[in-house]
Amino acid sequence: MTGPETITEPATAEDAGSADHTVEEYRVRQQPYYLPVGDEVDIFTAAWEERLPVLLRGPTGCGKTRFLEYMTWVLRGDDQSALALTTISCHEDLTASDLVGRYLLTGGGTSWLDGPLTRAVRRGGICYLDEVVEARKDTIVAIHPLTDYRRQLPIAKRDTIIDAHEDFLLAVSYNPGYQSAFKDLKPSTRQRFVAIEFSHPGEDVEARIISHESGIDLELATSLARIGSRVRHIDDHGLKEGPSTRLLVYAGRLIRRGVPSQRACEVAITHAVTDDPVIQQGIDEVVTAILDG
Amino acid sequence: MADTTAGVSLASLRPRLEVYYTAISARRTHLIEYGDDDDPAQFADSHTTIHLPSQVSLFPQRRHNEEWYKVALTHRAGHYERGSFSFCWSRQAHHFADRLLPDDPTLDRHPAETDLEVVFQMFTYRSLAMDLFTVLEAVRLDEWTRHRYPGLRGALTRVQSQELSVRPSITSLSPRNVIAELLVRQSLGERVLPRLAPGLHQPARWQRTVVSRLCSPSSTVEDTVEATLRVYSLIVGLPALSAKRAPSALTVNHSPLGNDKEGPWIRDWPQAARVSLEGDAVLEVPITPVRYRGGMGLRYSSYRGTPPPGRAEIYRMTAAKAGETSPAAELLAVREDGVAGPPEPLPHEHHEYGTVHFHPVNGPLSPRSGREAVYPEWDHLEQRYLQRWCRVRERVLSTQGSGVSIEDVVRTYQAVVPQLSSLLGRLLPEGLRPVRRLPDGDEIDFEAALDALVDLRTGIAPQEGVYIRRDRVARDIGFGFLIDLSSSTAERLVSDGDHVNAPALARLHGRPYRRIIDVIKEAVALLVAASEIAGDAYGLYGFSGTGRDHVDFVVIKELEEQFSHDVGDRIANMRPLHTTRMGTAVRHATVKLAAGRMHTKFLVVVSDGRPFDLDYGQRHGDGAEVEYAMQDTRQAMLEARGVGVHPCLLTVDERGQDYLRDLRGEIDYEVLARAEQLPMAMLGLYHDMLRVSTAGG
Repeated sequence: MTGPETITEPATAEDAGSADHTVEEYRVRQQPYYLPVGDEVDIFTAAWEERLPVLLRGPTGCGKTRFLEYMTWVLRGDDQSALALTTISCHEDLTASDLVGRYLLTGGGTSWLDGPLTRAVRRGGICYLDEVVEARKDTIVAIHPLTDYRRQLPIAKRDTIIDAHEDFLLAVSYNPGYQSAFKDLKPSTRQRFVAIEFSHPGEDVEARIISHESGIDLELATSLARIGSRVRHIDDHGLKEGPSTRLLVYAGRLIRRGVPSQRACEVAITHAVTDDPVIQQGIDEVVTAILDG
Repeated sequence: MADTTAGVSLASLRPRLEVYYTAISARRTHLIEYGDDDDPAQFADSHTTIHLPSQVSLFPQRRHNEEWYKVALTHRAGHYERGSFSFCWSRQAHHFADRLLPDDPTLDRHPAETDLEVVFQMFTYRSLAMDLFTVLEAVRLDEWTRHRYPGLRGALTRVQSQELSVRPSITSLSPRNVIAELLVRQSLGERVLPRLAPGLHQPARWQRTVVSRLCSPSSTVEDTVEATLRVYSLIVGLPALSAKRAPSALTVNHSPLGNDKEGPWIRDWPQAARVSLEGDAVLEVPITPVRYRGGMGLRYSSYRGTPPPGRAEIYRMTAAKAGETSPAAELLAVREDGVAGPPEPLPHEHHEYGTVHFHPVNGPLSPRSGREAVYPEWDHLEQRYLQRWCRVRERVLSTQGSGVSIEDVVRTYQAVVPQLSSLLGRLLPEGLRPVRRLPDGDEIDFEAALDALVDLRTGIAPQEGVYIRRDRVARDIGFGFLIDLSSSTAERLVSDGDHVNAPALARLHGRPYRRIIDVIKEAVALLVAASEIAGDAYGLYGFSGTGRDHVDFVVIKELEEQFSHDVGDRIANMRPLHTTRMGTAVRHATVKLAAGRMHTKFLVVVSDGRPFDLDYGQRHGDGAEVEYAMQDTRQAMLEARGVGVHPCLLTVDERGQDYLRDLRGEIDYEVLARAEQLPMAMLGLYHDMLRVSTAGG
């Protein structure tokens, strides 16, 4: 069994501001801020206890990844450290080898390097495939043996089968997008997961999130949350997706840095969600109506 | 008089205002203008239309005139956000502990009537009650606007001050009218009561107290109804005619008048029905409307659209006493639509383009020629297919006739739509896709090369394919465009006059205006141009019909057919026909597409309204046809998906979301508010589908 790559020290002083982690050793160091909006914590906890794979489905920027980080903290082990969280961002060029591993040439021989999925299967923790529908379907099927009763990962090139660590859990996420069935999971993949639906939180909850994440007062955060909920109603006017909580937090952070609130909303919300000038004007009118002065 | 150069027109603001209204109300609407000489009271809003003046030049600053429209729309949106039409009889008011509303209305009630309709029936003077409700509800909504939209506070105050400045004088009004007018003024923010005749002091002060309770953010529409009962009591308790007495100032403006329970309220509800007598007009209490608020219209009723003429009156006839008129009937006398121009044909009306008449048939059907086919229909109420239920008659559209040419459409659009050329240019298969593990290529496929080296070292014969070649993306896609040719496509575009490019586009069709079918032809012409550039296979079909035994399926261009002048002539010859049995048409189009040899197939259905036919669900009862037709259409689209044809619905209907929401998550659809958006929307959709299907592999 090959080990992970050696962690290298920063080569120069200029690199000293960053930190390297091996993927299976990454853990959140303190409790992430997350406000539950429903029973998602209970559902995920139950799924974890049963080791059922979980699918997180919801619009961009609504808290799927933050939720997962929060759950690694909630479900931390006896040593009080959070569960390991291995995140793999899926894309069209992702191959099964990128997930499982490949042979490398070393000196006069070859050595096998486990991919991030394999390392998570061996070590335990949560392996999170973000935006799983972006990967090709022939890549995604590589996870099928991990998502049923087998909990195994076959590595054909090594002619081996790895039994998943007892504390291994697979989680995937995707953004269903604007009423589109073109990018979707195969039914044979979908039906291997417990699905937790995420949506934008209510105004009150979203305001608290914005206030906490951006550092602005609750009253202004409430105005931003109201802007977000109103602009999301425009999804049939050609606006593919309304502003995410993330964008509203960005606006709050800009305001905290002294950017006038109207201008902050313009750059963080209006121009981020659409290029259509008419929709931009409509959104600006909403912002003007809601912001005081 | 305000500087007229600072005036703004609704036409110039309409696009952004519609977006704004959708955002704050979560509803789609169509903004319709009325002229300066029109009486605003004649144009009542509906759930899907809002009437606003064509011009506003009340203020010296242009921005303030623009904000007038925003205030007007925000007020109207408040009706939905604050539940003005969601009154519930059993729900208690928050700010009137002493409930005047009887627990049991003891009135004849039609099952479809809303609680609010029943409330209004309790009053002898129903018009007065409705007007008072409107004003009192406006108090509640405007206070809510100040709280919810602080950025509009200044604009609201400005607009209300302007409205106050043009209110009628009270000196010549009857006592009842004085109190009613004071109510309106109070709703506009007037703080100081004018000098009043002594007999009006108490009523005025009671009214102030009642109204003040609606200014709380927690007030509800139930509070407004309780306030209406009280203010109505005050007004009808006064003489209808003036006595000559000198007015005197109130000694105290806002001193409390004691317990609400001690107020001079009518407690015996419902009141007796009013018997009309000659000279009754003097008893009326007309209230001059506030311009920015608009009229309530029929929105308090259960109707969701414009009823057939006269139907609402018939609908509300119960055991009505002679001489009784209902508020609904009175309001029906008000024009629903203030659009000028020639009257439009009613939906699904037979007109000069069709000569086929509807004959109901019984039992299963059979094809009678090679160009006919029979399909089942999904009955969602019985949860079964009706076998051999619909007969499709396929025909090739005639090339005889005259109309717009594709070249003219493309040329005109390129002149007026700057982004068209770049959009068309992006339709060519773009980019290069890496093809891996090839025996020759441009680059080494390192993964394959490593596998080969590993195999060599382990004594296994390696694979020869260790190169990558980047091939130009080739598509193997086919499109079927299925166009609704129902009679409603003969309707003229309502808002096209405001479109800056409208004259040039209308000239394409030899008329000063465009109809929906004209816009459809333009969209199809642009699609043809795009498809010819992109090189993908495409079929063009139209559909209509009259009843289940005659679903008219019109071939404009077959999937494998090469483009020709005949195809161009057929496009130009597209005409509005009859009804819209969409499910059957989708099934027939699916069969055509499924037979195509392309790897990926899309079916795009373009419609200007919901599916409808004369025997499309009506057997299940009045009103059942809406859901029936949608469910059959949905089922047909799911069947298409099942055979590898991806369906998509593009509808031009501002009410589309009302009946298409159930498709969400299952079928792709897009709703356009206006027909003139169709050509570019179709091109955009085509481009998006090409891009996604190419990326998905």
